[in-house]
Amino acid sequence: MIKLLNIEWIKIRNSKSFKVLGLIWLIAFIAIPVGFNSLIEWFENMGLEGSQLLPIKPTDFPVFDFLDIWQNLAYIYKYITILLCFVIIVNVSNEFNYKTVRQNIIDGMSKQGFVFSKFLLIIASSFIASILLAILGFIVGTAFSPKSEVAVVFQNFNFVFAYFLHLVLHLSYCLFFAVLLKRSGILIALLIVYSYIIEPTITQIVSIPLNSGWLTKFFPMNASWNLIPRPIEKYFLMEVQDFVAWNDVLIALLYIFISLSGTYLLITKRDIK
Amino acid sequence: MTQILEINGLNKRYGSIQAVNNLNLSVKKGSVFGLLGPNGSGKTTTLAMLLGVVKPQSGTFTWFGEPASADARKKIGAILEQPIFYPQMSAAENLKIVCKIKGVDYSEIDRVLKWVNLEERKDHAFRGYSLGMKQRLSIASAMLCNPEILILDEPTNGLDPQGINEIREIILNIANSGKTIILASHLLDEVQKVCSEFAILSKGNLIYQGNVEADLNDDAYIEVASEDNSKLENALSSLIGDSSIVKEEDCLAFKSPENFDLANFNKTLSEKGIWLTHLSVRKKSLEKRFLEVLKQND
Repeated sequence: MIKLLNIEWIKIRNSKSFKVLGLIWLIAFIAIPVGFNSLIEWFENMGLEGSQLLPIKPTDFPVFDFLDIWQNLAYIYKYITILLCFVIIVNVSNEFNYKTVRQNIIDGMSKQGFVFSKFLLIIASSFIASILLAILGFIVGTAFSPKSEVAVVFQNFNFVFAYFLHLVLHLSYCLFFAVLLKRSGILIALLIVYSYIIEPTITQIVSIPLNSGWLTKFFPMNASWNLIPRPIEKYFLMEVQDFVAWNDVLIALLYIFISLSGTYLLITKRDIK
Repeated sequence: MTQILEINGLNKRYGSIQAVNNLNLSVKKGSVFGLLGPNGSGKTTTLAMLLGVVKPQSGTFTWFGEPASADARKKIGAILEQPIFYPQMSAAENLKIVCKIKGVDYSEIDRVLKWVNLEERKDHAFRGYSLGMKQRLSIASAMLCNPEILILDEPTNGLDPQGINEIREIILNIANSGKTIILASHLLDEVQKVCSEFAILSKGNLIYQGNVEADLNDDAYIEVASEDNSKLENALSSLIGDSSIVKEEDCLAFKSPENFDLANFNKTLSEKGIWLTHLSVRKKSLEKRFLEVLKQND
């Protein structure tokens, strides 16, 4: 396992797309909490300067207080997951474009080993991102939160696990479709169109007459997004789901299993050309 | 004698094309085995099945007397079709991946790169290599694990004469070190120069299997010429019989009888007052043999 991880590390540390996309992702990752806070401060200053139109104080939006911070950060970070998706798509489709997967197998890697090494890459990158979320959460939370009792700090920490699961699921989809289509350009376009246009539209159409989300929960992208529900309405005194729901976790695990099994079947049943 | 590779009834069909048809073949340890055939005869498909990237429809094969597995492939050095590496990575980084897969120590990298003269370029991206350098790197990569058997598929494809010569030297070197080599090629001259045994594939069928030395020596021809070839022809027909003499442009050729004594032959002719201006033994080329066999099977 360490050996396979090592192989993936050699492959990815030499990849330009990984360096570029990874850096953009990291900058966005750090800039989001810092930037959001500056934005609130800016609103606050507007208020102090006499305009009563925007009577906003940071305390009205305790987004970085403990308890709330985990869900809020994880929720915002969902929007930059697509950068990591690009990394996996480029990485996996290049193995087919360059035929290096074929050479890996000729050299003595098993087909199962190849699938497993890519899954390890997904697990490792999701794990590192989740650790970063935890570290950043602690730093930002400690800086802004009035509460610092251990019990409060770790309450809702399970959103970090939800974030991990969300990443693993999203990247597993990318692995499966990259192995299926072997074309990074087309796949990136399809991913964007499907996640931001097709599925949201169908979700809207279906949920109105059925008047319930039970079906749309099973849509592939929803299965990943729903792990971290939208917290924003909370600050406008509305009811939101502020916990990780078990059925969402089960649906996500199911889809991870399906994506990996599909990848495994594609690799083992097809000739590697 | 130990068989390093044994193939039993291997089949592969692509749609309506039978790429490999019920192939039975075995390769002895230590031999340099030439796999011949025109383009599209099933050479690469056969090797791809032996190396685990293409699934056979039916049939089995064993490496080192064991059923095929990823672990068996770790002991094989192989290149299929063209050199394949990660283009943006350097030679050294590419070989690190191979080391990890095969379970070989990184220290071997410098050894093989030195051996194929790529040491100075080891930190340059593979993308920028010339075709000859790419071929050399892939042979280096195949030799990384000090394999018991080396499989080369068209290793001189697309190279210039100098590049072909370099690769041939390397292959002869490996062959002389006692390793088993399977060399697939449509360049017969190449196979004749390095191989001890050969098999010919056509349209997926094994149509001939033989030994290079024995096969080609059997068919040795003797070429002679003198000032007056008609006089020579008369003398020859009385010596060895009419039927086997072939008239060629400026010489006469005849199939060498067994244990033919050239010195005595020359002496006899000179006693008859015929002085030879040309005398040589011509082994049949593999190319001729190959074309004959293909014709018989058409």
